Amino acid sequence: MEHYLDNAATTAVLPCARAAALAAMEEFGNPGSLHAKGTAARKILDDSRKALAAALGCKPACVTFTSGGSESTNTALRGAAQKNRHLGKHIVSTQIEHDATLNTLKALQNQGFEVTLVAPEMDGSVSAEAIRAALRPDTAVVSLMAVCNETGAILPLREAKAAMKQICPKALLHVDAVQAFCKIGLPMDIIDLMSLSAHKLGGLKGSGALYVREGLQLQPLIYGGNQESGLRSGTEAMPQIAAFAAAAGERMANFRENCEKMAALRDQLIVEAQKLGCKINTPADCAPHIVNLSPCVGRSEVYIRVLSDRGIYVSGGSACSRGKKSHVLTAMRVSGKNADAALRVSLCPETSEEDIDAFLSALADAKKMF
Amino acid sequence: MKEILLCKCGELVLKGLNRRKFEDRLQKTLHWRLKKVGNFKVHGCQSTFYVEPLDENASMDEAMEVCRRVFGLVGVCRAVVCEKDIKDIKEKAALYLKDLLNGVRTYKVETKRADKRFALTSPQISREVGGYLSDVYAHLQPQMDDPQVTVRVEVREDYAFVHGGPIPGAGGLPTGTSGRGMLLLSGGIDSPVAGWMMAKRGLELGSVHFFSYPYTSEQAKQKVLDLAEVLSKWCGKLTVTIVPFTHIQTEIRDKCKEDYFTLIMRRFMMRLAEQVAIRQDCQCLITGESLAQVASQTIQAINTTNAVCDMPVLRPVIGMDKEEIVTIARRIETMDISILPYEDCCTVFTPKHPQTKPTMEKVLEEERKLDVEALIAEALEGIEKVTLG
Repeated sequence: MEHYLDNAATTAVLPCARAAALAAMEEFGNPGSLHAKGTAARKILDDSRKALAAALGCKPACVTFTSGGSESTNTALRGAAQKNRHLGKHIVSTQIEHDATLNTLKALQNQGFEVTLVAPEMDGSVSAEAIRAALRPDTAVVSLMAVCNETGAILPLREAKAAMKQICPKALLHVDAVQAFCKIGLPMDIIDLMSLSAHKLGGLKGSGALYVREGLQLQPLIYGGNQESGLRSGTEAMPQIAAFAAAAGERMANFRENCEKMAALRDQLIVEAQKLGCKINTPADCAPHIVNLSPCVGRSEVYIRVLSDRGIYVSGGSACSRGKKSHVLTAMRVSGKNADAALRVSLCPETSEEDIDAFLSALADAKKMF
Repeated sequence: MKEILLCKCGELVLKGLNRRKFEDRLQKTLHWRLKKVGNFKVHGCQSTFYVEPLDENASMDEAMEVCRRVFGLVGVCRAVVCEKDIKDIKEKAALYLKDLLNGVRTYKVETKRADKRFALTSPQISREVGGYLSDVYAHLQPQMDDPQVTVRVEVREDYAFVHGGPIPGAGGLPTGTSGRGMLLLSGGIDSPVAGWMMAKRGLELGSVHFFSYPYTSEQAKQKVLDLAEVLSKWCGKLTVTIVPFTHIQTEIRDKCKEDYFTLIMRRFMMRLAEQVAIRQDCQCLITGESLAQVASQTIQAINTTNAVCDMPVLRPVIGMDKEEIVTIARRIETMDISILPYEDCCTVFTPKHPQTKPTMEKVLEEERKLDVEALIAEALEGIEKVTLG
């Protein structure tokens, strides 16, 4: 029996997404072609865009399909910085962002932008006051993740936007919602740009989207045949796009009960892990699907191996940075022992109580190894 | 144009009556290693081995790569084969060395005439060939002192050869002519270098690796196998004997004083390595210890770890600084693998303050808490072997 608890790294492909991808492969035409084959593919593309827009609660024209979260973030940040450079060369973000954001900002720094990264509190949350304190009248772009991929912390987007309105009203707000979409409600009315990924919610890898607020024009990263309204050239990845829309549709149709179910399991996991002597590196008010916990003895990679041998899959920190010390836990000033042994357990709506129990009992055994 | 490799023997030519043994071994090594890259004939005379391709599929580039890693050779020249006729020699020299000569301004020609029956003397041959090259390549300036290229002509028994000079060989003595040694291979930078250095002096290598799953990962084991693969290009077929080490480590952790963890662990490694060495007909152990580099490598610590085995323990990098070791690791191409971040068994349960000046009494007292013989027997029972190269 396998217990997959690494859903923040990637998820199993949902049956409806798989079916949609297969259908899009059968209907193989290029949506740019004028003949019947092209028209049929164009219909799938249009329907997918409408479905994803409905899941997001926005107009279809605001959705641009991309190759994934990293591409969306690159396009958004580079485009926004370029667009708003007349306002100033200052960008505000946080120390706990995903590397897609941090490394794009580093690249912008090398082009002369000044970047302020807000530090998290010791519990992993980011305070609205700290974000406000980082804002300046010449701040051109603010980039915040909606949910932290390592800890599940939810960032105060509304409060940040309120502060922006007072200090830098023309600055653009980019939200990295890769871990948040279909897990928490998103304040679409205040977001200018938003990065999404398909494979965190039952879609396929190599697929994502960028939400661009109506009326906002950005410079593309990729030039070519002007697909996706010119913002993202390249023949559309039809199976991925169809799968993304199907998965998002299904997840949002059951949004409330999914979240409640995951949140209940998360709370149970936190309580039981604390009984085992684990420190919880996830703040109190957090996303329903991510818990970062640490037995505070031993090393993450050893736990991952031991659990993996028992068919239980979790990760240490984020799966993208294997072997490296977590920059998020470091920013939270978590103690060395805690950080060395930290594990990220991430759920999906299909996660069951048995999965959580299996993890906890394996963790209790593994802890004795140290 | 037919090409050939001329492999120049090093130190072994100084050997006396047993020189033949060294040459035979070298010839066999060349034969075996080249077999993997194509069909080559290897034959030797007068301190040079000739590597001749026997068909078109035999790649000379790959043969060069093989030969430059064979211990016992000090240089490898890639040469064109000429008839023993000065006209053929001149013309082939001009044609074969075209790229080399077009890239330089100054040159000279040096001739070795092993076959004294050849009509021209060495200086005459050099003059003839040099004159011809100057005619063909107008930009070339002959220069006797420190030219950019020295064109070499060798007139041997059956053929003459022309080449642009040797690339350095691996040096040392042919593999196996000095016996067999068992290398303790950890996955770090030092141990592969130590193994390479002793293989260079003619030892055939075996290796032993201690594996602490799940404290260390499958990747850590694969890393050691990858290192062994690189080493095997130099020292030939290499067997890695993987010894399960987890139980020994947890026993030490549970029963012994923390500051003695590493020392007692090292003593187990030496004991196990010696047992493996005996089973595999080795006459010595080889370690990558460098004096005082870490706590278990102070002279006091080495005294206590050395005491458990009777075999001589060779420590070729004992007097080297890390940088000197790294230079060799880069040269032998183990460095990039060694620095991969997977932890090895030495970093599992490291004490906060390891003992740097241990006494034998104290070590023995700690070790009495363990059933050493049973642990050794259990570990030897679980051995797994992988052969590379």
